[in-house]
Amino acid sequence: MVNLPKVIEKKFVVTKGVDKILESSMSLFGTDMNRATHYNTIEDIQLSRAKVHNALFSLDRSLYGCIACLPGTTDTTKMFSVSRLLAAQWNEDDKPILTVDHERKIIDHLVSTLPPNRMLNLFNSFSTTKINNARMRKTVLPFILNSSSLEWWSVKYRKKLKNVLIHCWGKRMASVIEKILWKTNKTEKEFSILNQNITKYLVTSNTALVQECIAFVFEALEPTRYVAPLFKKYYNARHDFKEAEGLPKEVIEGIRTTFHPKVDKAETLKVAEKSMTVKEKRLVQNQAKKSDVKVEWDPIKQPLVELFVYGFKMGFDSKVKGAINSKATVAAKTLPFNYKYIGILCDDSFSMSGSSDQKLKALAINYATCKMLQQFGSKTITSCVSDRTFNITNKPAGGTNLAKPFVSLLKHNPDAIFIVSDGYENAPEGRFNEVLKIAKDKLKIDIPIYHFNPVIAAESKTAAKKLSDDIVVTPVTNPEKMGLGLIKTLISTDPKSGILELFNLVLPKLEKTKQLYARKAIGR
Amino acid sequence: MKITISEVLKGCTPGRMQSAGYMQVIPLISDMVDDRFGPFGKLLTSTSHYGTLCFENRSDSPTIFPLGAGVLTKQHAQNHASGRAKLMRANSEDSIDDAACIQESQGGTIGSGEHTMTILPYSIRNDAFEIKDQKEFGKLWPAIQEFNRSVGVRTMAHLEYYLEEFEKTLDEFIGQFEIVPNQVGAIIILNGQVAGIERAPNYEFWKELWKPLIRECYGSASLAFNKTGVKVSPPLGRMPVNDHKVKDLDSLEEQLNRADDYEWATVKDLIANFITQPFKVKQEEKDSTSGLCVETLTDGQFTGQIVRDSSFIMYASLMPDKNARFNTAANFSI
Repeated sequence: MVNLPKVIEKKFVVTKGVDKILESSMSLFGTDMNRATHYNTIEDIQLSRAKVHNALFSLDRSLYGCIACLPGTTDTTKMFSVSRLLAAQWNEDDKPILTVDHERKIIDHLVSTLPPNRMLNLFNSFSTTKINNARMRKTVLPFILNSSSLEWWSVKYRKKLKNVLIHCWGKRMASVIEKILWKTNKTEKEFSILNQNITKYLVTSNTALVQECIAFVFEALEPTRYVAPLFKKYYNARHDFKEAEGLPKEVIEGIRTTFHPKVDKAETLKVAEKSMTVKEKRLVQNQAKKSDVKVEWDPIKQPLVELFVYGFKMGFDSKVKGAINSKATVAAKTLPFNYKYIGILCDDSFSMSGSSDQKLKALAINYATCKMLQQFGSKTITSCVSDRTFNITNKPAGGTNLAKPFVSLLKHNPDAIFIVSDGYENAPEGRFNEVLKIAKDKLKIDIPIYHFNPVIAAESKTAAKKLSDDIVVTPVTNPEKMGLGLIKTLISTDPKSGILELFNLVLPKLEKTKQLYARKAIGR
Repeated sequence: MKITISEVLKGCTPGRMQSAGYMQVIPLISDMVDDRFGPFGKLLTSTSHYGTLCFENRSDSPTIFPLGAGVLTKQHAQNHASGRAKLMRANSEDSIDDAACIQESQGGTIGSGEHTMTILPYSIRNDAFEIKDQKEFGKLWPAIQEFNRSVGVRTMAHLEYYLEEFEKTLDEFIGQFEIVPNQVGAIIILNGQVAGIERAPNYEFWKELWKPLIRECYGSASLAFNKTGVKVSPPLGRMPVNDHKVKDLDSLEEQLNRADDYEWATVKDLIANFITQPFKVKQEEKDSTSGLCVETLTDGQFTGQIVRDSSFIMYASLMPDKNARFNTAANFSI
């Protein structure tokens, strides 16, 4: 292990321009959801992303990986970072700050924290991004083959899994494996092929089940030969729809439309209820209501921001409100602040509507952040830029007047002020900065002011739009995971200790990452 | 009915002024909405010949094809625009035969469909309105060429060059302004002068009009102004907070209010200059069943078109009259 403080000093602190690279990358990593925003098209965002990732990667690939591992980075960032790390060959001459073993753990950590659909999307993307090397295979195959959910994935993500496996093994080998799996009596050579491509990646998994899953994915066996319960259900449900119980909801719906078109659509929800995830149950509430079917779900198991998105669409009942309050309270406890009385300035202006493909998402993040901050400290006061009383049912409306409510908050003499805004001010533009400067320079008011920004702004050099050069902007996509934003704030005030704190936070996490396969057995 | 700006804005109250760069937008808010009118974006548009824009309104509500609106299509066909507003009755078909081509070297007529709508860039829209009665499909080409030259894109009469080149800039521009609840229109001020007065029948219509109007039409004026390189600090019409008089938070709040009030008062003065001057009115079309008509207003400080019935103006698009006395006056300043 290198002497971190010394290396950080030498490599980052004295190098010019590092602060800007770190600031822009951390802003992007916390907000990039690969979607258009109110202000930017998807092309703008992709361009901005490539630039920022390249700049940080060129600085140091270890630092790049560690920042991607911070709590609060988006899944898009994790996916892009894994691709970037796998695409570039490890080169000792670049003198990365950590070792190749650390990087492997970084990749494992990033992959293991992705939800299954995104993990498979990432693996699937390797064929288009032309990432095809041993490190890729040694990442992808163990993750897939050792998964305790492989049977479920095989049914739910059949096509994706097939593409991923074909990319890892190559078309020819995949075809060979498919044929071997079909055979009841295998030769020694065939066993050897299966061992080389499947068994050697397994740690504790049931080899027979893994092979059956692969056979299912490649449709290599006749339906009657499957013994795994889900595969049997999959084929039996074609004749008897009730047999579909326990299969993924989308698959049940597919079977209904293809083999049982006369069965009512609402039946899908009834049959699928047991096997739906909490998220799926939340997402089908609207459909369930229309079909007069009750699908129970537990809001407490959902992310805070998603509860707001749900509430905007379906209304905030007492169950959802209760979950919001308790989740916000838990999230507030993770904040490293020690203020007793805080002022919160919430931007609920029209621009919080978001773009058509993520409607009200920005407002949901804003409200979730405000709710969390309201649970923090012994006393809080909240003002809104729209001049309305803070209420989670308020839809975005009006212009952005930050200066007046800011002065009103100052008059309450809080210990700190948190501004939660997209940074676009128009009543008039620049007024907030004017007032802030007068408050600081003339009235000598020197309380900490934080700006949490929920919107990615690709046109801004720092990725998240600033309100003033005197306030560090902290991007937020998930207020429950503020690690990234807070480390960014630390780095901007004291780069050396901020970067050190970053490694101190990430390295123990890497050590705890579950090792999914026997590294030594397959080497690097 | 004597038509004045005051009559045009009847039933509206001004909202809080929004200001970014050299542009200010005063939202016009109204509870007196005319819900008879449906969205114009649902109109099926096509061209039958060069210079003839055809419309089909399949809705049960009438609508208005806004003044200066253009139809953009990805078909191999010539994009078109019109310098006049067009009233479209419910479930009807109609056409404008003095429309203009906005894509010089592209051939082909537009097939019927819901196409993307734009509003012509500010200077081109003014020209289009002035020559709206000319039946010559190439009549806007010189104006588009001149505009493209002024903003630094290829000097050909292709409006899409401007829209493509400045897509991101215009997105950023519109991001600075926001619709407020019950908004049905706006007074737009550019560099201390009133650049336009816009009114829509209802909030939904205004929401639809907002993006092409503010982004593509007025955005172009701001863009062209910035291209001149004229730097004014603070921008005309913008009043900074007077920090010399700030001693505590109460006085900061007071000075902040004073700056806002001062800006608002000067803008009010500016508007008060012309709100009672009567227009000369020329009727362009009238629907005898509903009593709705389209009229051209001239001879005031402003010129443009309105849609009204016997008692109420529900649509207006007015721009400064090039020949009016007001526009020869000095720029607004404090």
